Amino acid sequence: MKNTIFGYWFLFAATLLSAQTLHHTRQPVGLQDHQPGAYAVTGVTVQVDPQTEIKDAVIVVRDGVIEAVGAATDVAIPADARVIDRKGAFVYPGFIDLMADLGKDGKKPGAKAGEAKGTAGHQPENRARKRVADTYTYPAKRAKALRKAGFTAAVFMPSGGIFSGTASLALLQEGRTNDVVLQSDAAGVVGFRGTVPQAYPDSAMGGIAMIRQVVADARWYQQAHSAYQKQPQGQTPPSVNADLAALAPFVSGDKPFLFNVRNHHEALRALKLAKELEIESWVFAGDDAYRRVASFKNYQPKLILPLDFATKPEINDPAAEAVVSLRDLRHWYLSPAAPAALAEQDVAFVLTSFGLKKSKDILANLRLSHHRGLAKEALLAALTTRPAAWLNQSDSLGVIKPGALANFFITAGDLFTTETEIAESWVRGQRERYDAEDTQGVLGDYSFTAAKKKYTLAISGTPGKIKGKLKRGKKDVKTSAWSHQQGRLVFHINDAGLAGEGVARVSARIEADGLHGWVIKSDGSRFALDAKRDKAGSEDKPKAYKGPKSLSEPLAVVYPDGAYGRTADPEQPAVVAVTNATIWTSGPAGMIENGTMVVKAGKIVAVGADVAVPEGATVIDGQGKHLTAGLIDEHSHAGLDAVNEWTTTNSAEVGTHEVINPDDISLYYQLAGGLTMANQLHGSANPIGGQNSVIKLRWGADAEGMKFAKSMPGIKFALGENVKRSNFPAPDGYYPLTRLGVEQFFRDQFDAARDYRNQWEAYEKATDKAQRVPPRRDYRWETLLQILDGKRQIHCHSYRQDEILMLMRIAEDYGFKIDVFTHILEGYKVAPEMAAHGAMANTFTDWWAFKMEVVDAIPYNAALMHQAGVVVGFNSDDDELARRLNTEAAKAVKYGGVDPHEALKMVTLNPAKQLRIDEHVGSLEVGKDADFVLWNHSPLSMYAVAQQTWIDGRKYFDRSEADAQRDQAAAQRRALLQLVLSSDAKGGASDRAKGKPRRMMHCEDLDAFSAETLDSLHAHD
Amino acid sequence: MKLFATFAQRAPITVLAAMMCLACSTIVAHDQIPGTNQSQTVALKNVTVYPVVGEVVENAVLVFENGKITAIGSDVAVPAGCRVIDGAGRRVYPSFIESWSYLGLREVGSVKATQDYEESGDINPNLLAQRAVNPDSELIPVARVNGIGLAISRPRGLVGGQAALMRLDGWTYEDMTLAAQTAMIMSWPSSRAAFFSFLPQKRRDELKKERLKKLSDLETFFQQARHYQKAVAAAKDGKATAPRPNPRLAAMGAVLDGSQPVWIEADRSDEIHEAIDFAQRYGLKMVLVGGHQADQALEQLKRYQIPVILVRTQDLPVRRDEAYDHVYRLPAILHEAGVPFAIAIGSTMGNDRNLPYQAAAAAAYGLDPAAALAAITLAPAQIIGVADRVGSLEVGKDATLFLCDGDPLEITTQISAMFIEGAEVDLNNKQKMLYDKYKTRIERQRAR
Repeated sequence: MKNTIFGYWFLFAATLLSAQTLHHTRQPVGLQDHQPGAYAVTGVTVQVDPQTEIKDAVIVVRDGVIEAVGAATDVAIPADARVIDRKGAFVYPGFIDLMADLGKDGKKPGAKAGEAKGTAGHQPENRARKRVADTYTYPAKRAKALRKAGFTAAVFMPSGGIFSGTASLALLQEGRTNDVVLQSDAAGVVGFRGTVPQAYPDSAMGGIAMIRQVVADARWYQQAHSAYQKQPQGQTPPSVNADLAALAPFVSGDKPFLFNVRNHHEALRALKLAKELEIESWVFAGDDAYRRVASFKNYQPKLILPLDFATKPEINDPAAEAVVSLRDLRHWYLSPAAPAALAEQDVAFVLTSFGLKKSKDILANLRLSHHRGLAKEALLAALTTRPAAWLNQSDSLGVIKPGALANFFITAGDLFTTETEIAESWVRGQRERYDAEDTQGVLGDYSFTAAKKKYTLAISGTPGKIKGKLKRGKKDVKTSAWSHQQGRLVFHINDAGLAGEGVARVSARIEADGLHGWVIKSDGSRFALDAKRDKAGSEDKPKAYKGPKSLSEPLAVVYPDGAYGRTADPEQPAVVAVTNATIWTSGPAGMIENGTMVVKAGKIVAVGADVAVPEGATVIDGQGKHLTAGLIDEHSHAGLDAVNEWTTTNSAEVGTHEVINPDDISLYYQLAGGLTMANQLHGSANPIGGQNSVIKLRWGADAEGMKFAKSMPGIKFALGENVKRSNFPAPDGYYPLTRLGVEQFFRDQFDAARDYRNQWEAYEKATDKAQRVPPRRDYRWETLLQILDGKRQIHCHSYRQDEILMLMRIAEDYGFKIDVFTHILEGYKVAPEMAAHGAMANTFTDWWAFKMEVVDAIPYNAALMHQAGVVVGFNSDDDELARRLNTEAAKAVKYGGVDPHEALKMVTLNPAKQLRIDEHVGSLEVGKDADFVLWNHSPLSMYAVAQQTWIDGRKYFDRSEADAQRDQAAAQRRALLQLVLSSDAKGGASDRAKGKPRRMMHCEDLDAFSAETLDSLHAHD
Repeated sequence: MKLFATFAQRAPITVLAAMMCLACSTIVAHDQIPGTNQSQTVALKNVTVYPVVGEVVENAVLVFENGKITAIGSDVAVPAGCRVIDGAGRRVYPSFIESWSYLGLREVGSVKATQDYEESGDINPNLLAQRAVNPDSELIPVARVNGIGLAISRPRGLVGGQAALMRLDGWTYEDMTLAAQTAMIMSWPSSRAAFFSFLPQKRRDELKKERLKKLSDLETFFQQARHYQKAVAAAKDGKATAPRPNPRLAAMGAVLDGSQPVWIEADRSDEIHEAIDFAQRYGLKMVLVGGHQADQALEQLKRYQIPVILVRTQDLPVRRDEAYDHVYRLPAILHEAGVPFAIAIGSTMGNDRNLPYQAAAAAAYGLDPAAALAAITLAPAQIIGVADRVGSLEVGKDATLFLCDGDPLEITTQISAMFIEGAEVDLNNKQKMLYDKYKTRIERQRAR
């Protein structure tokens, strides 16, 4: 029976305009309109700062500023103050959000992409000139939502672009922009993802490269203009660029850059970049920062964490369960615990509402983060004193102390332990009230007599939301449509005894002794109602906050998060000996039957048939097993968040080493297939691609921990159909469209790099250097110069013989060498020329016929090139193929009769040579890294299964443990699924999981795709 | 040259006549000449016969005549006047059958002009795969060298058309067609894309809608087809006039009466369950193709006697939580559960030849090696419905077989001869010819 249905619940918000002593530079039109400005809020518990609470306190506000705060016994209420008694209520300092978006209002100021006017720069993704304060209009809806969640000031961000513009700090109140903006230049906002289609950059690695270049450009801009001003004679004036000029406070380190990125991977990349560029940074760490707390701690960062936690995975549809992974489930459970995990390690962070639109959700998640372990003090600091300090506003924002702005909010209950709502928000002394005041005292018990029957009426709830209960004697009488406004009570009686056939309507005024009004019966007749107040009532207390259920055992942190993650790096035994194995050394010793290998401190110290096992060694019995060096993949795109920066034909400044995703499950799969190293290459969308990264598959390590420090820097080049855009559309005016154009493009780029060097040399030699406008530092040309100087090796994607020859001839003309041709399916046609040039080859074994330039691909390619004296290897370019490179080597035996030991070298020593790391890895020889694999059969057999994979003398994979790990994951999954199924939280749109899963990438992926290509994609985290 | 000794020793015993015209290699026609119909009895002696059905026969003689096997055994006498081939200890296996290929229908992946397997529109049951098989496809001789003698060529689509089992040798598609209209090919609308979290929610909703649309189109079409067949039957009985022409609906007769199997491609468990429900609703004789999460539907597959064609065992797990070797192990799981299955490769990289390695991977991860061999020989023959002719070496069956020097599931094993219905197949191909050509170049350069 719904006897307490109210017509609607209306919010009663009384706004009292306070007088503001603002420093207007012009007089008002008409009459002066100053309001009295002194207030005293009494009877409250005040949270002065995160650590200090004063009970039964008084806050005195004058002209928007706090004049006094303290215990009622200590603070005198000024005679001119209006007293606002909120007995029993709680007052907290107003929250500060460092990452607010303007919502729909943000779309107004010059949001049109690429629109460059006046002295704006010409890069569509650099909009640094845009400053929120310059076009700020009060975002009424957003501001109100924020106030109702406790916020009183916010840094509003511009959106879009790599350089989005400058964020500005504003009070969350309506007023002249001149008055409400506290800081115009709060932070320069940058991100890694461009928003303009077709514009550079498209990939996250391009975003990083662009930030690096633009920061250098902005610094150069200052230097160039100052040099020119010192000596204008004889110099061309440097151009004026509003975008570069606007970056001055941020590139100088005076003000921070705010990295508006998406997840913990990107946040770590941002921190690394900020450190390299020596800029101040605030970094949004995503809702998954708990995954790499230690990595964050290393940077001593200033992080911004979202209160927008992962929503409940949608698993009601059993179809969805097949794609919700343990990682997703853990994320749902752990993301609210992320702030606590970082606080525990003393990582400094602030909290933002970013991503949440509703005040209720913000408050609910704030409590949830407390429920999941974040202490009240830390939580308050992250919303008040810390953001204030980062803004250099510690004296005026984030605290309730004399001299600070009167920014605070009032709640009926404790913010953390009850589900209280914000009752009042004060912004610079301007009060906005959200709860209803029980001025007349409607709550209570009443009684009256009608038609000779005795009735009792109980009104409870809150003044804003009353609940009425009418009884005749002891029997309930059905009522509805309860409302209460300005001292008048209205409700309906659905009862034949009082209403007749239908509904009776009651309207009564609330007076000191009770209710006085009338009842209109269904037949239109009316009678007076006079109910006596027997007892005054009190408001319902806010409900105690309980929080969602927790697991009986806490979830251990694993690296990477999810199934098959590990709790710690595998240990490195002091001495390891593998005995009695068939050893494929890949070295001069060839094959050793019944051999023993000894490893000390991660290095091989002995290999041979007559090697003694040192005492205390961890012994692995290799009886009946085969031991090989760890496999190395020269062409991989596993473990990367981006592959192609396709928006430019030369992207030499970008690098995959900046977008390593160590959580990619493919890395684990490949480790299980005996792979220990991978060369993560840029894609083949452009002739001059990006820089590479060489990693060891140290599953569990973070991105930096996977890098192999001793590798030679490299870069991807590409030729043929991809770079001339034969199989996918090219933008208008795209160059090159032919192999002829490809040649000319390479020559042009190397000429340009030389020209760049000449400019610098001329500048360095100039006698009046201090007054000269310096050349602009350009990372793209510098990368090409490294190639010309032999300091960076080339991995060139190539298929046809003509283009292979062409590129070698260019290299010879410019005095460098092409180290490795990758894929190189027609290498067999020009193998002698390659050998003469000194080029090495890393090929697919047998892929062909997938496009025109591979119709002449033959599986004998490797054997023929090998015969001609070329160092040959096999690559995968494919996450799946990369986990069975050992049997790819067998194809060299099948097709062309290569000796088996030589064939295995094609996936061990030869790729090591190609990466110029054969001094350290690639074979089982004394002094090399202990990267090895134990197989149950000959590695060239289709029946071979890797049993153990070791890297640096640590066992990273053991087949005998894999099933147990799977079962463990399944058990944890079941527990979490049950928790999800029993949770009454609403299910979320699952695309909010910001720990972005990725799809498998090949070198032809443009990171942009159509529906038709979806079927050929593999998706996995 | 030591490096190439191995290959020289294992040089195919085939007459390499085609080697003469190296220069005329184009992608229009391949240079291998189809084998001639068997006119002379052939006896393979000194071989080990792996018949797939029954025990391995060591030191055996295998005789075939007019394309059929007439004798197998260690005590079989070599008939007089026959061609005797000394296997020198080699092994004999029935030819492998690839059951999910585009052979003859797709030449170059990026060139639309060379592709004939995907017609416009979602529903094309009347298309017949064999009709566009190009006997001169360069991919065919390349596939043969690893023992693939027979292959299903198939179109693609929601209802893609009808597949045919092709002999991988012949002058015309008519020569090559061993069995036409072996199955109706369907691709179950994939639900996967709708869960890609790298796509924006809006796009995912669209994909979900597109999928639902396809499912509803499918339902409508099958109901119309039933209606049409009813009208056809009524006309046959003289109770009504014949329905007006509709080639799509007309092509559904054998599907709806359960005589033509329907091969439905579905990988994820939800798709598999939907497909099974659909097949039961319409009384279809279903074969599940793909089946990467078939382990989630074992009870249903058994209950409705649905065989599975697992496409690629060398593939990644569908879900992050699955064991790294889940797909490798899948055949063993099906085998243990008693679900009949075949293994296919479904290559789009020109690599139908790697079919045996898909079976080998299953064996490496726990499948009984005999079952692994059957999964690419007898099992597909049974699923396709041609087990009376091919898939095993038995007297009376086709002499569709090959000789090799070891376990043919191992990469390093070489196939030395192949017969399709007794006709010897030229094991040369474009790739070997290019090899010989450029080996010559390298050797000449070295000699200088």
